[in-house]
Amino acid sequence: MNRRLNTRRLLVALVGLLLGAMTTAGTLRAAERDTGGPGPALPVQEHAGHSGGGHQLEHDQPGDHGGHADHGEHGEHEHDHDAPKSAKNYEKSLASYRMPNLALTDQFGRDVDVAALLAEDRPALVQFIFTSCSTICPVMGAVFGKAQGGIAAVSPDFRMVSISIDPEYDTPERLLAFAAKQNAGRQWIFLTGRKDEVMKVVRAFDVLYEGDNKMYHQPYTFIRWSSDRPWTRIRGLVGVEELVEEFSAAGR
Amino acid sequence: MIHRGCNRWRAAASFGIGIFLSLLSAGARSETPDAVRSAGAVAAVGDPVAGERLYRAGLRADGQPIRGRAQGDIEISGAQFSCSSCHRRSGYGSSEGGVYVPPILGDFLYASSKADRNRIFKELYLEAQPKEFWSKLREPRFRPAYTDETLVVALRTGIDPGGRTLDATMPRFDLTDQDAADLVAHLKSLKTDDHPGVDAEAVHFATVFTPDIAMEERAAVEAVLEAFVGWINLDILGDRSNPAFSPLYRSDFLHTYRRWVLHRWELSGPPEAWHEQLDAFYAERPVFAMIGGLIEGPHAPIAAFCNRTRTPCVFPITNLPDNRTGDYGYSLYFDRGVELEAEALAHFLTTGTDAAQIEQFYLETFSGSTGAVAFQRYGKTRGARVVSKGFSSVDALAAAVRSCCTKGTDALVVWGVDDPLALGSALDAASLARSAVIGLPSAALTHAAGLSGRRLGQARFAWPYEKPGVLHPREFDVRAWMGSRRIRLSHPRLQFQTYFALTMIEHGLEHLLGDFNRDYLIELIEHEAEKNLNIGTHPSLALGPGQRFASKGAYVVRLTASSTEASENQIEPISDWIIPLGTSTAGH
Repeated sequence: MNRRLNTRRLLVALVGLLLGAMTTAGTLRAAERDTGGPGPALPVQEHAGHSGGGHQLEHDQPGDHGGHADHGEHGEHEHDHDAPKSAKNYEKSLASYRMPNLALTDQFGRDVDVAALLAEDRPALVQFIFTSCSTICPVMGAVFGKAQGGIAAVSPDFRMVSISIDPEYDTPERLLAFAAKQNAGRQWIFLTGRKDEVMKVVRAFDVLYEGDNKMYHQPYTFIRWSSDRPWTRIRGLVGVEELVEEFSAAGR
Repeated sequence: MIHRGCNRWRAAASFGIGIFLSLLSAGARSETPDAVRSAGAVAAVGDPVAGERLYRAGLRADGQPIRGRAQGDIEISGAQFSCSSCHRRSGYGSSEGGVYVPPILGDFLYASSKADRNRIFKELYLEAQPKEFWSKLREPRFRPAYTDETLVVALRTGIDPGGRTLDATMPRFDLTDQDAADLVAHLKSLKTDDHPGVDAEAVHFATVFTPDIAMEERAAVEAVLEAFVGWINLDILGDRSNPAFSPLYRSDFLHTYRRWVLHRWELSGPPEAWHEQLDAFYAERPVFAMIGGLIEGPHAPIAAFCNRTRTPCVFPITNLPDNRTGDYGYSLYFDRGVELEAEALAHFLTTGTDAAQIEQFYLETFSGSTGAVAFQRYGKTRGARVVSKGFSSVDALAAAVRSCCTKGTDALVVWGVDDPLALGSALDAASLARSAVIGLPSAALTHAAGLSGRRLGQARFAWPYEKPGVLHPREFDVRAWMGSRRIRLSHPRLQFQTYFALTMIEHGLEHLLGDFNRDYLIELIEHEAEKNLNIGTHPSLALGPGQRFASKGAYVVRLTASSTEASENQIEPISDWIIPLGTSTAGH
C-alpha cells in the first residue's frame, strides 16, 4: 500500500511543481508591475470599490457564478479612490437575498423574527461574528461600535444586527457582554439561536465557510438602505470611516 | 492513514508553489525611515510581569486598558482585545478569517526573517483560507532583526525595521516608554525552546486512570490507546528509517517526528491524595500532554495539576470536570458533565410551567452535590420551587423517597444514585402522581430497566450525548479502523471519545510542526476541533479561542416503553437539544 501511495505522491508532486512554476512566474510578473511602494498590489485591492465584479473573488474561479444568479449586478458606485494609498482592503458587490422565515434569540433572550427584522423600514447593517473569536470579530465589533455615531449622523433611525455563527457557545448572556464591550446602542441587536437555524441565515447571505469550521469564516458586512434595494455585500475588514462612507453610499 | 494521508496529499500537491518562495527575495528594504526612528525611544527598564499582563489582559502598568487604532481609524482598547487575542498566549500567532497573524516570540523578532517555507507550512497547505490569504503569504516579507528600539517603533507606528507597513488589522498602540519596555521584556521572554516531555526521539504523554473505574471500561479504552499509539509509531518509524524515499517535503519534517510514548498514571486513594501522586509521576517523567483518561470522581485535582505544571489535559472522560471559571485552564473537556445535565433537566422541567414544584434528593457525594447545586440554582432562575434534601447514604435517601412527596409535586429529582434499582421499592411506595416526572442523570440509565413499569414510564434522563440512530460520517472510518485492528467495540462511546482525544493530539502535533509548545498545542486544538472529527458521541464537538467545553447541550430522554433491558439504543429524546442559558459557570 505504501509503495502505491508513493507513486501517486510522486505524480501529484510533479503536478504541484508544474503548477508552482506557473504561479511563480505569474507572481514575479505581478511583482515587476508593482515596483512602486512597499505594499504590493493584491487582487483584492484591485477589485476594491468596483461594483459587482468583486463578488467573483469569493469563488475559486473568476466567473464561477453558477447558482448565484440572485446576486444583483446593477451597482452604480463610483469609488474611484485615486491614490494607491487609499486602496481598500475589502471588496464589495450588490446582491439580493431571500431571508428564511425563522426566529432567533437576541441578547436579552427575546425571540426575533429574522425575516421581519431585516424587512424593517429603515437602513440595516448586518455582520456575522462569534464572541470567542480572537482575530477579526473584535475588530468587526469595534467597527460597528465606533461607527454608531457616524451612521446615526447619516440616518438617525437604523438597525445593526450581529449574528453569531457559534450560537451554542454564544448564549444571550455572552452576547450581552460582547455588546457592552462595544457600547452597543438600542438599535443594535445580537442574535443567537439553534445552530441549524443560524446556518439557514448564513446560507441566505451566502457566507458559508469552509470545512464547517467557524475558524475559517471570513469578515462580511452587509448594508441595505431600504427593503426595496439590494444589499451591499462587503468582504474584508472595513474601518470606521469606510463603513460610514459605504453606508451613505448605499443611501444614494 | 485516513486524515493524515489527506493532509499530506494536499500538501504535496501544493508544494511546488512553496519551493519557489525562496526565490522571491527582491523588494525588502533594510533602512529604518528617519521619520519614525524617534518613536522607538526606550528609556525605562522593562518588567516582564507587567509586560505579560499588558500582552494578555491589555492592561498598562497603571492598570488602565491600553489604547490603539486598528484598520486605520478604529479606536480600540485593551478591554476589547489584547496582544494575546490574536498572537495568542503562546506567541505563535494564528490565522483566522483570512488574516494571518505571525509569531512574535522574541526568538523570531530578534532574528532577521528567513525564506523558510516550513515556518509557514501549516498556513500554506493545511488550512482552508481565502485566496488573498494565499497571495499574502506568498509575498516576500523580509526584515532585519528587530532591536528594542525598532520593535517599539513597530508597535507604535506599524512600520517594521524593513520599512514596511504592518497589516492594518494590527493595532498601532499608544505606549508609554514604561509600557513599551515592559512589553518588550515579555516578548523577549517568549522562547521557541521545546516544552517538557519532549526529547530528540520521543514525545511523552500520560493517560490517567482513577481508582474505582470498571475494569471492562478500562480494558476497552486501553485497547484503543494501544492500537492508536502503535499505529502512529509504525508510521513514524517507516518515515524515519527511510529518509531518502521522500520525494519532496516529507524529509523536510523528519526532524519534527517523534515516537509517541504513552504512560499510564494510575491513581489510588481519595481525590485529596491525587495531587501528590500526580506530582510524583510528573517528577519522574514529565509529559508533554495528557490524553483522555477515565475519571471517577472530581477531575478538579487533576485539572489543578495540569494548570500547575502547564500540561494540556486533552479530553479526559469525566462527569465532574473543573467548571470553575478561570483565566485560562489547561483542561479541555467534552462537556460540563453532571452540572450540564442538571441544568438541562431543570430547563426541561420548567419549560411550559410557571412555578414548577420540585423535590430534589441527593446523595452527599461529589456527583450528587454537584447535580443538586446546579439544579437548584438553575431551577430558581426559571421560577421553580425546588426543595432540596441531602443524604449521607443511599438507604437514608431511599427512606426519604418512600415518604415522598407533598401533594402537587411536579417532579422528583434524584442525584448521585447511579443505580436507581436501589430506590426501586421506595419509588413504588412514594406517593407521586402519575403525571409527575422522576428526573435522573444519564449515569442512571443503564440500570433503570429494573424499575417497575409505572415508574419507568415516569423516568426522564438527562442525555448530553448524540441520540441513537444519527450517523456521523466519521463513525464509518473509525469503526473500520477498529475492526481492522480487532478491537472489540464493547464500550463504543468511551472508545470513540478516547479515539477523538488521540486524534486531537495527532492533529495538534501535525500542526505544531516541531514547535513543541504546550500553549500552542491547546490553541491548535481550539482551532481544529470543529473540523469534522466528531465520531458521533455528541451532536457536535467544537471549540474556539478560550473555549474549554466542546459540546454545549443535552437532550432529555425516556426509555422507550417496550424496553426490558435498558440500553442506549432504546431511548427517545423528548426535548430539543437544550443549551442551558445564562449560568455564571458556563464559561471558559
